[in-house]
Amino acid sequence: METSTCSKKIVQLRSSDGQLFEVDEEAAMSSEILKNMIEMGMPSPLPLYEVDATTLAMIVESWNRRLQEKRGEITEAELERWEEEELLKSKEPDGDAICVLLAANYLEDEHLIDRAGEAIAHHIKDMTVEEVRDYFEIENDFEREEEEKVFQQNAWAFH
Amino acid sequence: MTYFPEEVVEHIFDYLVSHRDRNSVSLVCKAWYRVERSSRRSLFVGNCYSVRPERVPARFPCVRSLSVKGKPHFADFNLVPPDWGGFAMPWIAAAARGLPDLEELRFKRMVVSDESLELLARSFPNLRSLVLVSCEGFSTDGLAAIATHCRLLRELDLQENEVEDRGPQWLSCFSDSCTSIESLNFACLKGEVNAGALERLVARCPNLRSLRLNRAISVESLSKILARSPHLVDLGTGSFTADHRSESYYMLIIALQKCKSLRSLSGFWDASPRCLPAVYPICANLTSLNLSYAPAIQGADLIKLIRHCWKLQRLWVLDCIGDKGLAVVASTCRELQELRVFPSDVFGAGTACVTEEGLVAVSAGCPKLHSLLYFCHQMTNAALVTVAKNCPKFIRFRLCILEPRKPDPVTNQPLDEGFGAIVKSCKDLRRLSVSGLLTDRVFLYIGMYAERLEMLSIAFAGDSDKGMVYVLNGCKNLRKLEIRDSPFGDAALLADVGKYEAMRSLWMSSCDVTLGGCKALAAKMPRLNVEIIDERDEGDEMEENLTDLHKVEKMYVYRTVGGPRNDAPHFVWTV
Repeated sequence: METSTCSKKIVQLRSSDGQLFEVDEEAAMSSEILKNMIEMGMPSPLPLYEVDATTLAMIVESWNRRLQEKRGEITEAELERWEEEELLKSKEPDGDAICVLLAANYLEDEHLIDRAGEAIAHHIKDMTVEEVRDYFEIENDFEREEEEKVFQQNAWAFH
Repeated sequence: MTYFPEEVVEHIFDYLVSHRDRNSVSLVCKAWYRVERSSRRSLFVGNCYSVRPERVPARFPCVRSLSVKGKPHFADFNLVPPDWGGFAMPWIAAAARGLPDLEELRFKRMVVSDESLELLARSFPNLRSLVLVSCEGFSTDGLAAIATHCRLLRELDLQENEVEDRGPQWLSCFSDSCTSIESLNFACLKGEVNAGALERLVARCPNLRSLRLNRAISVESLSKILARSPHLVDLGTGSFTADHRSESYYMLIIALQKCKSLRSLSGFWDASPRCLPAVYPICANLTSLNLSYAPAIQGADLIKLIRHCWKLQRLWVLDCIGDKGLAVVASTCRELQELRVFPSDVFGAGTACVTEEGLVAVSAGCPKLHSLLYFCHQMTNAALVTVAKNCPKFIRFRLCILEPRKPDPVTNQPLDEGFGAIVKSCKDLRRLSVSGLLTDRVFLYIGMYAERLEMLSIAFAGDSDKGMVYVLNGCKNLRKLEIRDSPFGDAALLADVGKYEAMRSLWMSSCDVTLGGCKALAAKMPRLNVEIIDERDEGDEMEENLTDLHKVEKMYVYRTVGGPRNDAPHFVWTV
């Protein structure tokens, strides 16, 4: 868990599984949800019911890095590389990017939503339907006939 | 299973652009199907009869960009009768009802009437781009409707269409407040154009980057236009006829010199060779040059021009460039990726032509060459083997030897081995046209090696059904197969009927397929439309007097989820 070295306002967050995080308030404003809570004067710790500690740790670090980039302490390229390789693990097919996307959506963090969305899209590009289902752990709920109809329309008409 | 809110899924889909990926994710589960269909922005329909037009807005209500193709490719060689079909109207009507926010529309090889252009113009207030390629059925009146009503138009691109000339007024229909044009191509129009209106339009459109003028535009007008649009990237020059001693020519030189952004040139219809030096200063920046409408530029003048164009990536020329000219291309244009050599004199055997020598030279000098269309009078196996070795990266290889069934002139052998070398070496080959004397053997090679092949054109080739069967059995990525004047019959047609559901279409004309064969195919594969095109006299006698042994003149088979056509003319029947 990283905290900012500058003496700014700190805000406390609580993950869904009860862990507490201290974050630079400016960094936390990357999330629309938190921005609203802070502006409304909600008491600390601010509860994040749908983000677990593991994911929140990654998100907080990404906010801190964005703040560093904003302050000129790191370059845009360095930020991008960290996001791609460390945060979203674009080169390794695990579920981090999905967790980040879900959390970013809940937190309403536009930048992270875009980055994570793009990373996942890039990963599933050229996958077969079955491979996509496996990656997201989604069950096929189509009826056989329905599925065939859609498949046919896709392949015969829209290709 | 993790719960995915729909907006999250949509964020992922925002970055999925290819039709294939979109099609895949739409099948993951019902929720994803719903999200995908309402977020799809761009749709491509490769065969307008593969689906009923109304299905498009029904399934994809938020599409902003629609592209539809109509007639089979052999229509380019006049093998498809006019009035066969491919009407744009049902598509425009369906889109008008269900896709009012449509921004981009593209039609290729379709019949587009003035009435449909009127409907189009009035139905899509947000239309930004209209592209019509190899279409027919409309006049300049239809263009007037577009100019009048499509206030946000950025692109009007008319490529190779047959357009009836009803006067020059259409261009004046762009309102004075229209300043959004970025791309305007009316090179295919045969009639006069109001030059003053054009000049004013160009003057008020600061984002204009691509302008292709028709033959009627004079050099005087061209100079004025260029003076107003120095940021042009792509220019079709119009007639380019001038007296090189005249003031107009002088003005042209000045104007061209200011066009530092020009990368692509075409036109030059009546270009006098003495006027060519005007373009020399910009040649060094050109990546694309189309001289296929410029028969007046020949020999030494052509070579001199090409010597200036060392950055060319795409070159379209007439065969009057000759083998010597191609040797100059080979030594000058090291970045060349695409070469098209068109026939200037199809029926004569004159000196204006290219042979295997020119092709070999280009293959040796241009290592990045991946796309070829080459009309020539002869080809040898040895040359093709050399070309295959020099350029293993071919994606498109279309060789058209003008005389049907012409053998290798040196050995008198068929060209099987030559084309065999091409398919063996070029592992990424997606499109192939073969010509010259060819036996079944070439198809054995194609079936064996052309794994990525998607489109194959065959004319006057093969010995027996085996040839076609090799292709159907072997090319697992085949999507379009078009065959003319080749001895393939019912046995070949029926050898692997399931294959046609994995392909977009099959065209066979002047082959040995019979009515009985077509009926058998239709009976076995009810989801295919098996169309027979027979242009003999109208009337019932056609159906009554024909036995199943009757050889079918033209047959077009395609998979469809839309059922048989309801707009077929009398000479087209779905079996």
